[in-house]
Amino acid sequence: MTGIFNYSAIILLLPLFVFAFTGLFGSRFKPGFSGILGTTGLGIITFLSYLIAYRYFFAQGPVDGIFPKLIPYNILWLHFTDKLSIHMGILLDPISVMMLVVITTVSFMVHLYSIGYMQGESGYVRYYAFLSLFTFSMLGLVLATNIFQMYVFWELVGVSSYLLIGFYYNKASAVAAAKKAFIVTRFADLGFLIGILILSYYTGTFDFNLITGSDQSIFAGGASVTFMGISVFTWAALLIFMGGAGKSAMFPLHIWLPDAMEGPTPVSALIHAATMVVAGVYLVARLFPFYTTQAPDVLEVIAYVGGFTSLFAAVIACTQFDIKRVLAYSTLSQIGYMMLALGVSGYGHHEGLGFMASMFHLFNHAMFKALLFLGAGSIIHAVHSNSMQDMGGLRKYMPITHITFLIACLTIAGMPFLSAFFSKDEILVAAYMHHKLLFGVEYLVAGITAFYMFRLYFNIFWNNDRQYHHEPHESPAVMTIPLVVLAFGSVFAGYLPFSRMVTSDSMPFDTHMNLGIAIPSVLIGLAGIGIAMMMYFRKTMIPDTLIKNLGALYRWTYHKFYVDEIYLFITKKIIFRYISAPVAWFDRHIVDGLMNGIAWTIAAVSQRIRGLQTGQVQEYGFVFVVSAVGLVLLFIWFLV
Amino acid sequence: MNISQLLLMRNELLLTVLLLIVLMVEIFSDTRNSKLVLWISMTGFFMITLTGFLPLKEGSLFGGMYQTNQTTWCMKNILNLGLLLVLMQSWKWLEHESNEGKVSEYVMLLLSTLMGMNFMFSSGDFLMMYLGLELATIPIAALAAFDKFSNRSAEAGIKLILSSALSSGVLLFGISILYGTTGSIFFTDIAGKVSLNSLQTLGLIFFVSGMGFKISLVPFHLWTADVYEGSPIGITSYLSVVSKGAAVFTLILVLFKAFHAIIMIWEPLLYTLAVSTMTIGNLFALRQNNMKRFLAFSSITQAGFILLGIMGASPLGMATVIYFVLIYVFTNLAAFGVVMAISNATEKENIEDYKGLYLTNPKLSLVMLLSMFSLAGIPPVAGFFGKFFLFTAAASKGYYMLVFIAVINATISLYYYLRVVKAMFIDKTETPIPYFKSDFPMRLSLIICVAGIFLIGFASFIYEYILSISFGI
Amino acid sequence: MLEGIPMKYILIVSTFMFFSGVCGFIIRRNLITLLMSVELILNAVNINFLVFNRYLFSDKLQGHFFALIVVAVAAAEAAVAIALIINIYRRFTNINVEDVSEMKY
Repeated sequence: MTGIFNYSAIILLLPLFVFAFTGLFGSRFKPGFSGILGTTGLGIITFLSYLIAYRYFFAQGPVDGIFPKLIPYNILWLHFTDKLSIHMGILLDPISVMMLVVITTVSFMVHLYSIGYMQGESGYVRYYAFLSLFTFSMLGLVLATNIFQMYVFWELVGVSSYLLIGFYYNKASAVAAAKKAFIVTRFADLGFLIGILILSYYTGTFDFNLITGSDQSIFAGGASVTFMGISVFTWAALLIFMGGAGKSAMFPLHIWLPDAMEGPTPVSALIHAATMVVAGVYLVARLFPFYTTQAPDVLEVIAYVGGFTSLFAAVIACTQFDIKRVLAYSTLSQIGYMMLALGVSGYGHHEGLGFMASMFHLFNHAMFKALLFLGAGSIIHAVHSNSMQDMGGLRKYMPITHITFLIACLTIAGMPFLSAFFSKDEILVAAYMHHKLLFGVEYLVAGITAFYMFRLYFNIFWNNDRQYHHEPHESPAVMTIPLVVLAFGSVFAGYLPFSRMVTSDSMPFDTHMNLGIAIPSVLIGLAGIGIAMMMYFRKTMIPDTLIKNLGALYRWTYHKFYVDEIYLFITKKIIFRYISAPVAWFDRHIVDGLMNGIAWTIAAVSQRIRGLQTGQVQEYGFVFVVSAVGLVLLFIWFLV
Repeated sequence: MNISQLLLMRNELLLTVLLLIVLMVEIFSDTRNSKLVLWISMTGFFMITLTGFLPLKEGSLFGGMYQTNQTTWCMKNILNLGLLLVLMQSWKWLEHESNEGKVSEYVMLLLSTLMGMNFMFSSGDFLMMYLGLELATIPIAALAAFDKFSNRSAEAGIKLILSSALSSGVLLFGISILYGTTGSIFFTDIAGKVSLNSLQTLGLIFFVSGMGFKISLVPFHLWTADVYEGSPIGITSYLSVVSKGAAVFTLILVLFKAFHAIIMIWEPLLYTLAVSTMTIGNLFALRQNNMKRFLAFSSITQAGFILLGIMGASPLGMATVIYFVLIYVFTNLAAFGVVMAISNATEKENIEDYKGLYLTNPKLSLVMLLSMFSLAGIPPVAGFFGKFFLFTAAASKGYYMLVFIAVINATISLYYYLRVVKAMFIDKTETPIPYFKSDFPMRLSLIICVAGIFLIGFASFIYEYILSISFGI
Repeated sequence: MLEGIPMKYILIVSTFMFFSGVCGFIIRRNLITLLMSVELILNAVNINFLVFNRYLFSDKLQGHFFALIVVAVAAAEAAVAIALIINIYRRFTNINVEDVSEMKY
């Protein structure tokens, strides 16, 4: 029955092989070779994972109404104690198969795209080696059968992300960003690690099947144990979420993501938009039954963290001029959506709507956000700048990029019949059923999202028709083909019957469009687009000929200008200054500053205590004896 | 007792034989031939390391003063491996003209310290342990001052001998009190008689301070950085890896064998020491510029992590400690190997000098990168597994707070390990260290270390073997 | 031999010797004196071993042997230490402990 599923090992091992081969021998061939090798390898595993997904969801289908958990491989790796052993294996269930499709698709597109984008870069071979390493680790992460294996790959993902962000290693900001990303996520991972230790200690297993299975007896050992008044499983769940929040850049651990945009743009598309940053969402989804049964309070926390991050990031996105940073904050906001959806979800059937919606949105988001980033890469490639102030009127020069970017913007704004329309609607329904406040916040975020995305879009492709030193030109076919493919994905992914495939309890159910929620959300989105259009579309709305004509047309122009002034006053003077700017300031100075402050304090303490090491051997002896005697007195005092 | 029983002391006897051979060669060869001595001692020690892996019977000698079992067998092999790597890395340095005619001294002193360490693990009473400890310490002080024309080397030697004399005085005072209160110096006798009282607490704490001196636990660590900085690099790496490993093994063996009845004293004691060691080691490591000093403080931090495993106080705990030390041997020797290769070629030892190393010497910098990642505990290199298991051992006893502190410290340590990585891979300089080709033994030792760093984490049979020979209390 | 003298008096002497040694180690400036202070510590330990053996556990001689060995090891230690002190004298032209602090922090 498993048949094709046994080939899943190839999916995991082929990128590893490509990495090893490129890393060791890549420099002996022409640079182009490693790109072609990597892309071919990725093509093969993309094909394989489609085959597996097809077989899993359609050809084989649910058994007794439930999608089975398949484990084609599970090799005993470390026999730890009698109770605890660690396996390395491959787990296929609806979410991992779904992630398989997402990762291979986006990674394949990015590989293909990079052939054009990275052409002529000095580290071409290194770049492809790292990309393969990343793909391998990410696939290992989603296919892990147990939480320990997941942690190993989780860190490996962090390392490869570090290497890729710091790819331009002669650029100081890139290096600082890489280090920051690595350290912030490592800091979060310490929570994850402790969470794993607690969980495995009290349940005696690392295995996802047992932790998320229906047999609750494994939790008996720790059910009554509490620490600071909270049960140990709640602690474990919270700490594990901390790890997820670090990777998925949830507030306040989000500070690394905007800086991580220093990496090459295709890397941002792959790692910081579509795959790695959703690892946290995936982690919570993977352990979802555990969260619902043992730590429902933590789900509540997740919902609020997600909701807050989505609003916070959306507000900041309105103020940014670096187009990649806008997209980065937009990613934060969208991941906040996904986390929120998980947080408000219940378990099983319609209760689990949020779970399904979250996974659905993850899938759609991967498509359209990768498209946006690759589009941005294409633009940066043409204009040689990241700032939208250096852009404008690009629609004439780059028609394919323009159309695909527009599709992505419409998708993220939740316009009807595009993919995110469906998933967003279901998230909103789930939020509505759970908590009205969160629901309201998400409505608001939908509007802001539409606004800043179209601010971006109009600023890049319309606005003023500037003169460029070098005439921008459309990117080569290897870069535009991925754009077109992903645009198709963004449009049509929403028509997948997701609720019949990926659900919290693996049992298919049906969903219906809730027009009462969908229509206002579309209207809010349209309003956002409208405001953006009025503010940023103008300069090109008035062709040169019209400017030369006076009279009524002039008055009309003048009047328009007047309206714009009001807009400017309301938005720039009031909203930006009193809302967005302070939020951005808070982010940059307080949240970031707090993290830097910790580093600074440690360094300062380190500087202060240098006096302990005087170089005088007598003082060393003195400290030695005094400490020994002091410890003796202390222990006799307290213990004897 | 018959002659065949003496074979239980195989490792020590072989070391003595090799030592005498080197001495004879030194005495009877006219031209003070460094090459000859080097080749003889290297082949000889290589053979000893190989013989070490032959199976060994369990048993005891001299009325229980000397004991061997599978655990000590494994520990001795780990240390043999460590010394072998150190000798390989010292090869070129020893060939240098300034060391002409001193090679045999170097080898003999190292061999005798290793012998002392072997006696430490195999000891069944405090007398044997003390003898082993002194045999393992005094020659190192001479070795630290090996470079006769360097002020720093002389300073390192005197600092080491004076501090260690003081620490062994304190240790002995502790032992004498234990003897006075229990009436025996044998671990097995003491185990039955210790209980929770003031005098025995004093004895225990003085003993732990003496061992803590060797392991460089804070606050008994102050000598470490100065001695590490001043000594020749080969000795520094030997101190930080082999000597420290030996003291860790001895501490865990004695605590488990002799003091298991008063675990309620030494667990909080080690708790305190672990917290201070990890934290202070980290804080000092942050601001070091000299590579040797930097690695000294990093090794202090690592020692703090090791205590977590000892506190596991179970077969699991001992296994994680041995496993960690094994990984640590490869990891730290990889780092020291690179430092030594660079110092041999350019005499540069500061972190700033490493700027741009990746562009000129990519292989060396990759070895260093791996070593730093392993020390920082980043998967999938072995250091991660070592640390993870130590944490598990402590967590299995319910020391969550301690594990939390340890993980925070591990995260802080990442910062300074990355500093080295940053210097090598990222920082730019006008005058990077030029390309050089290191000698064959050095390259071989680095290859072995890298293989160790990669494979030990994944070769699960190693850990399972170690677990099978470990014992608890 | 020591009839009539209670054990605790001897222990007081040995403890006093131990701490005198520690004090000497900490406050004296000459490296040779430091070495002598260490010898004082070791001899305090020797007194402990002997007195415990003689008064409490006179059926076995473990304490005596321990003390003998400590004496021998102390001699070895002193030999190496003095060699190193001579080395210091050559390099620094004095044996003042405070001057031997080139490496710090």
